[in-house]
Amino acid sequence: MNETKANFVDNLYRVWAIASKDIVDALKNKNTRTNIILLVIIVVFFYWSSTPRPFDKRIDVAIYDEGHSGLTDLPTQLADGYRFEFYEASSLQEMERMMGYKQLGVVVPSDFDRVLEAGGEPKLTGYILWVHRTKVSELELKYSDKFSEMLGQPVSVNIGENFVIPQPDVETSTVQFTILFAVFWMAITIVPHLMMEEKQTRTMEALLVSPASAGQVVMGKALAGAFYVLLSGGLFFALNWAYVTDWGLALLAFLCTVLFSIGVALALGVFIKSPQQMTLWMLPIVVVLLVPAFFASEPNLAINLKAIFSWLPTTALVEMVQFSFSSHAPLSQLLTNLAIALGSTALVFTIVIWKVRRSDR
Amino acid sequence: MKAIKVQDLTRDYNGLRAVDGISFDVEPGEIFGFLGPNGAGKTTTIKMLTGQLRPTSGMAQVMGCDVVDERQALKPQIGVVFENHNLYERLPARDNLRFYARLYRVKKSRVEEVLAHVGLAERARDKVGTYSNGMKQRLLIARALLHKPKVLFLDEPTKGLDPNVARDIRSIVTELVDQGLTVFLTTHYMEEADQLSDRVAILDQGQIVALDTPEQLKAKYGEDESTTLEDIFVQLTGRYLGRGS
Repeated sequence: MNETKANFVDNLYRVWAIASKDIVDALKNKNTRTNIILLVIIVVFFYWSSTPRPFDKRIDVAIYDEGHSGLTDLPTQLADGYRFEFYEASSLQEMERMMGYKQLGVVVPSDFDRVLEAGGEPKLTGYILWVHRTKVSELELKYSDKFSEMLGQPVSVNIGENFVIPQPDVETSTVQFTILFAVFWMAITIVPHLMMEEKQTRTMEALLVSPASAGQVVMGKALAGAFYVLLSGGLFFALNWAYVTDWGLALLAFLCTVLFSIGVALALGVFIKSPQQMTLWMLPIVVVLLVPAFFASEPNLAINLKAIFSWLPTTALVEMVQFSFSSHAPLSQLLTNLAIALGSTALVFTIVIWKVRRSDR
Repeated sequence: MKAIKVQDLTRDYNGLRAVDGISFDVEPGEIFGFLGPNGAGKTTTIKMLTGQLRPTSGMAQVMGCDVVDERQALKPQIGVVFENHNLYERLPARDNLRFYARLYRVKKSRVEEVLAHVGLAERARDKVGTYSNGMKQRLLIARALLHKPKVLFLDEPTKGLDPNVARDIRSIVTELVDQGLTVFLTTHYMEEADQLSDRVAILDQGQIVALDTPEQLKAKYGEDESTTLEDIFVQLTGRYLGRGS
């Protein structure tokens, strides 16, 4: 028993020795540094592009006009360059569903015209996405100001606690894709490179005559990759924490994404022998795994394509992340996605283990 | 116990026989020269003896460990100096050795010992990428000695080195053997093999065509006293290798 425990500790120690060497060595590699910088830029860009920006002059508003007032018929172009774009909903529920990409939802009260004509201050009930809940007073002030300018007299927009949490089937932004991209890209650019370099410089031979086994080498590379993947995940969550409605589900989705990405990266690492082969494989991988995941929730996508895309593990993972950003997660769909993600991960790891055992002499 | 024991060792690659039923023993503390033209099967034999490659048939033991069934037990017994400079070039020499020290679970102080032994203590903080070939070769030897192996495999240890550095490497090897290490040496340089080896085996097309001390080989196959090991080699393999440093 003690011997088994000692062997286990030895194994862990060697895996960690390889991983820590690779973590440091990867940072000294120009290509890895470039990939990390590119990834940071992409994650920050996705965050920035899905957040209201101060220079955006167009204000998209989903509007439910209870009293059929003439608000939406008024000129929407403001003197300071701002412009309202109204999307009319026939009910409060429809308005909430329309708010995926809209900055604001507004319910116009039935007495709006009467108060306006009486020279009073009409009160609009504002709704914002859950994501922007920390900015309530700032947004109330901004939208009250813009509506007042449009109507030529004081109007107040009261948001209060009216946060709309998106339905699971409503696309809110491309943010849910970013986590897959960040993790997947980091894994497939770092892990295969670490393994390929050991083969090319023939340091793999020295490793394999040392007490480290082929399995420990692969685990060490996976752990080094996981370190950078977790950093990219950390950056994503640091920027996009406000989207999360269910942290348990978000972490589950993240863990599944990490496991699947590391699995694919290891498979590339054990099969690919040169940077040229890597370049050759990169395009099909991106086309087959990343592009469909990005477009899977596109409403205008052909039904057949949608059905095919839904079976891809990357699509399942993106959908799981989306559920963790939503009002609730449909259980059957969540379980299906989880099964697809875990099944694919198990398959990829089986292939890796088979290849490693086979190549271990 | 023999340091190395090989019986009918064979390895096939896709139907081609790279090593064809070779048998030999190496005594502890011996320098065993393993000579042969390119493609004779030297590297394949080293790979089998160091557990990197599974033999197609036959048996090999190093320090009593079977190279197939007792591979993990074999690893601490052997040190390997590879033909190519397979080092982490972006890392300093000290970090290269510290990494292997962790894999072998030896103390950090041993790293400083081996660095001093091969004369690299002063440059230990420099990245390996800035090293000359001679310095890389010394570092490879240091790495192979880190865990105090019983048998050292040297695959073309002086290939491409200038004569002074090659001499230094040879003197390190002699010193190690004086300390009781067994050395399995492959080289293209016949003078080196003649000078260093207690016994040599000449391999051709996967088979051992001669095995004895250099003196005995010269006496057996040479025509007169001026016959060199290289003459014997050419006579037995029909190939010329070029003079060593």
